Amino acid sequence: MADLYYAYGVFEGIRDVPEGIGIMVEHENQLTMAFELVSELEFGEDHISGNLQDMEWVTKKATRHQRILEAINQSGGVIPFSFGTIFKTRSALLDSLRSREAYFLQTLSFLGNRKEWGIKLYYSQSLLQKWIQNNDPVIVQRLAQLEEATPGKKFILKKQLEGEVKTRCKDRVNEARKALHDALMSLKCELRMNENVSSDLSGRKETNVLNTAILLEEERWAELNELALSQNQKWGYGDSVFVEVTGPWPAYNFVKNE
Amino acid sequence: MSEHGELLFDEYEPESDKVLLSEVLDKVLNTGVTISGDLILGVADVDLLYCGVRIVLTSVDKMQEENK
Repeated sequence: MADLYYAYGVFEGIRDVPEGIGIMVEHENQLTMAFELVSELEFGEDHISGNLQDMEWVTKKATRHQRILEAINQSGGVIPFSFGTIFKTRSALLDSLRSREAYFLQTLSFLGNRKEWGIKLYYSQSLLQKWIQNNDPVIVQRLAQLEEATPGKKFILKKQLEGEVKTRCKDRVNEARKALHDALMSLKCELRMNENVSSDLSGRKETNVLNTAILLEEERWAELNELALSQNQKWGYGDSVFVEVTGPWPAYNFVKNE
Repeated sequence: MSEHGELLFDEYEPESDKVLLSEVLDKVLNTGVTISGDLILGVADVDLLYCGVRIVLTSVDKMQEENK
């Protein structure tokens, strides 16, 4: 059975690619495309649909895709291809590299040596509510009043208080979200706002309320780290509201299709 | 073809951060440049994969339990 050409991405010049794992490169003028020979039995049109239903297979292949691009990304900018970009022949791969030269060079010039970082804001409704009950002076005072109320009044006050705590919770999350967004804007870098990730997908029990990607020089990592730490400390909500930073990633969110 | 690379790159670690795994899947499957190769996964396929992420996370949990 014939092999297919699975393309990972394009970068400028000649650079080390991960060795000993079947990754090959093809050069055309100033550009290099990293690819790998894959079996038609796995990736061919007659087989891939079935494999796509197998989540273990998908996870394994997607993880490999990311790790190879991650390795290439360590030594400079790379245009990451989406999962499953496959050519039937080496000449088709080369044609693609040749015919899109201007577009690839323009995209690489835009990326420069910048890397993608993911910045997300999460909050835990239950922990934040507890934090507000223990630390918000108005709520603390009203809780004390509740203890002294008559049983009939207590019920009504409790309901009102629950509503107030929820409102304050929402307000504080909105404040934290705005503050993080403003802080990211102050970095003066490319910023993408992505849809918030549901708990099913994120694997977190906390709620995602801001999901961004930024494009930043790797040497500015300390600046980003400081920003995330200061946001977490600034609000002082402990584990109830927190910023998560991941990266550096290949610039998946900052490459536009031709 | 690439079996010799299995140990280094194909083996994702079930114990590693599930959160990061979901981010990897999101980025690799839903972003990046889509150039027209001879074969490229369509959007419908990606939607299917995306819906399946929950299954992956569940199976990771299962694998962790089995490893204990």
